Amino acid sequence: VQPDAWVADRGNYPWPREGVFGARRLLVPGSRGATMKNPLDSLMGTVISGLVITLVLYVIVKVTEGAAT
Amino acid sequence: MMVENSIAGLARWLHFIFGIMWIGLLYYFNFVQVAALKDANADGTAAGITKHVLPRALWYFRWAAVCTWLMGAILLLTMDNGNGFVKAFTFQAPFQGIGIGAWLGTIMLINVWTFIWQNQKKVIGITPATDEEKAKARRVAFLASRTNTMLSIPMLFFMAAGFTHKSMFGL
Repeated sequence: VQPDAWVADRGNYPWPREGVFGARRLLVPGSRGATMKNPLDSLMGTVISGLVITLVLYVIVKVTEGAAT
Repeated sequence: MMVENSIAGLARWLHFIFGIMWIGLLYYFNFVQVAALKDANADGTAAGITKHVLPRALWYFRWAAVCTWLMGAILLLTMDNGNGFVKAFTFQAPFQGIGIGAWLGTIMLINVWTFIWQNQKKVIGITPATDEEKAKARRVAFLASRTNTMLSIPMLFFMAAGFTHKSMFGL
């Protein structure tokens, strides 16, 4: 496929595209047009993200505490 | 020593009061108002919320955030012979846990006054904006508010580090 054809046919490739408000959205390779959803768009995603960050920070604190002693 | 303890006690008490107001309003926006506005927009009653509720809620929200941070800073300054504030923000022992909470609270405060408030001013009409700018501001404010809701979960975990956390999590 030639570069010009890539541009013309880029809708079929999993490359970043212009999303809502001009933001670029990352397409999942092989998903053919399906976009990754922002977890912050749902309350469940927000809470789960918060819990994951809590766990990650907790592990970091415990590891650094262990390294300090 | 007694004066220092009194200041610490007062700061802790006010830190809780302002903190509950701040995070309570944050949860109101995210858990109640977003869904309510969606329904209200559908039946044409959104103006009641955006005109009368939102400006008042945002006023208490952003100033409660400032007062919460200030009371927390005063509380930290009363600890460890005045070194608590610096030790927390530089993650020195034994302030690593509260340091994480303090940094998260600081990021959230900055988020309130920059991304949330600056964009909400366009949404509620304090700052003139086109419909397109309003739509973009609404999205940015929404994501910033959701980011703060997400960060409030680890922030409260580390802020609440006390005797229970010591026994349960070793913090």
